Amino acid sequence: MFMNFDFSYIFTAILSVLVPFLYWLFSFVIIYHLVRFGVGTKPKRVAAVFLLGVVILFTLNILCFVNLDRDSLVSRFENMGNNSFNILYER
Amino acid sequence: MKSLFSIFFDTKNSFEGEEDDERVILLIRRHPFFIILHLIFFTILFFVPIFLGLMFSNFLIVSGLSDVFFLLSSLWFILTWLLTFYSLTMYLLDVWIVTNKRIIDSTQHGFFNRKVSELHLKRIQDMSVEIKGVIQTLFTFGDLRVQTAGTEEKFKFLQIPFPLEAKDKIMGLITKENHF
Repeated sequence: MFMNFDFSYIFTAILSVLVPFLYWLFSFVIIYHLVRFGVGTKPKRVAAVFLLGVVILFTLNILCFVNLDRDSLVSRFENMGNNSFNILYER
Repeated sequence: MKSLFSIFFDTKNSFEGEEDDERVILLIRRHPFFIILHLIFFTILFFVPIFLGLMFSNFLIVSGLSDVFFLLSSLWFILTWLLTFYSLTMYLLDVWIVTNKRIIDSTQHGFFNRKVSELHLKRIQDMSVEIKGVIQTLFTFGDLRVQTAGTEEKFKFLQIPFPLEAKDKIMGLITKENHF
C-alpha cells in the first residue's frame, strides 16, 4: 500500500496550496507597502491597478489549472518524446 | 463613496512623522525615465509566451500540450506582474519630501527595509546641482546635493527631475526660515 502511494497527487496538492499562498502573500506585501508608506495619490492608484491585475491573473490561472488534464499528462509527454524520436530516426 | 475614492485624487501628501504646523512644499521622486526602462523590459517579458505560442502553435496542437502551455503562460504572466509592481513599488517609495521646516529622504531597500533621514532647513549651508551627459540634459534630470556645516555626508537627491528648480525652491525656503 505504501509503495502504491501516489506521489504525483501529493506533489500537486502541495503546489496547489503553496503557490497561491506565496502569490497572495507577495501581493499583500506589495499592497501593504504602497498604501502604508506611499506618499501622495500615485502609490494608491498603483496599488489599485495592481490588485485588479492580481485578481484577474489569479482567476485566469485557476481556470487554466482546472482545465489541465492531469491524468494523461505523463502519457502526452511520453508520446511527444516518441514522436520526436521517430522523426529523428526517420531522418 | 466620494471620500472613499478621494484618496486616488486628493492629497495633502501627508507622511509618517509629520508635525502639526508642517506643510509639504515639494514631493520629489527619481525621474520617470528609469522606471520606464524597467517597464519596457517587463512588457517585453510579458509578451514572451504569446510570441512562443504563435511560433509553436502547430506543435502544441498536434502534441496535445496546449493546456499545459496555457497554464505555464498564466504562471509566467503572474510572475511578470509581480516583478513589475515590485519594481514600481521600490520606485514610488524612494521619495524626498521638502517641507517648510526640513528635508526628508525616505529610501526603500527591498521589503521591510527602509531608511529615513532628515535635515532641518536651518542647517543647510550650500547646495550644488549636477546634470551630466546627453540623456540627463535632454530629459532635464540630475543630482542635487545639500551640504551642512558639519563633516556629515551630503544629503543627496539623485536623478531628480528639474533639479535647478528644486534647488531654487529650497533656497527660497531657507531664506524665509532664516528671516524668522
